[in-house]
Amino acid sequence: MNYIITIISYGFIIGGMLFILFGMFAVLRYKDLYIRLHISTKSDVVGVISIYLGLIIKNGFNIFTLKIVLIILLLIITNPIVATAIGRSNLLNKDS
Amino acid sequence: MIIPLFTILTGSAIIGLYLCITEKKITQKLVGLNIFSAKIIAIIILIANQLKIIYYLDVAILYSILGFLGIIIIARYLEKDTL
Repeated sequence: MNYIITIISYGFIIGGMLFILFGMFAVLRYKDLYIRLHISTKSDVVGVISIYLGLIIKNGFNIFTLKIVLIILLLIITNPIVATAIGRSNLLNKDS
Repeated sequence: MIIPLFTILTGSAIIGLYLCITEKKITQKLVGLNIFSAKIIAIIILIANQLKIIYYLDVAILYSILGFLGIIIIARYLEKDTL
């Protein structure tokens, strides 16, 4: 049983690593701001949350895991707001 | 397993900082700052997991809130010329 939990957590961590790797490659590949914003928010949220889920499954249920769950909720709430604010300020700014 | 993870996270944090320094428009710099902030939080959580120090997670929560507020305030200032 312990062996299965370790394999599942490493699967989540490897998936998150691949998402972050391909996302960073695409951010360097495309130059437009809206395409770059689209790619970076999706790959950040999916990759980082997958790494955190791997750590949660690996550690079990304790105070460490509760704080990681709090950070996941904060990331889910704040990352779309940041993307919307950056796109809107690029659209409405007079200089750009 | 932990060394490629640290390598990929540190490399993407360096890519975010590179975008934040070398781009011309300021909204492109904000995209780089967002990438850098998320990856630095992930690195702090991995270090807390390796060393088994729980109060590093408080640092991670505080850094998350501060990065969010910094990007929101700069974007709002560019949009309206006031806060």
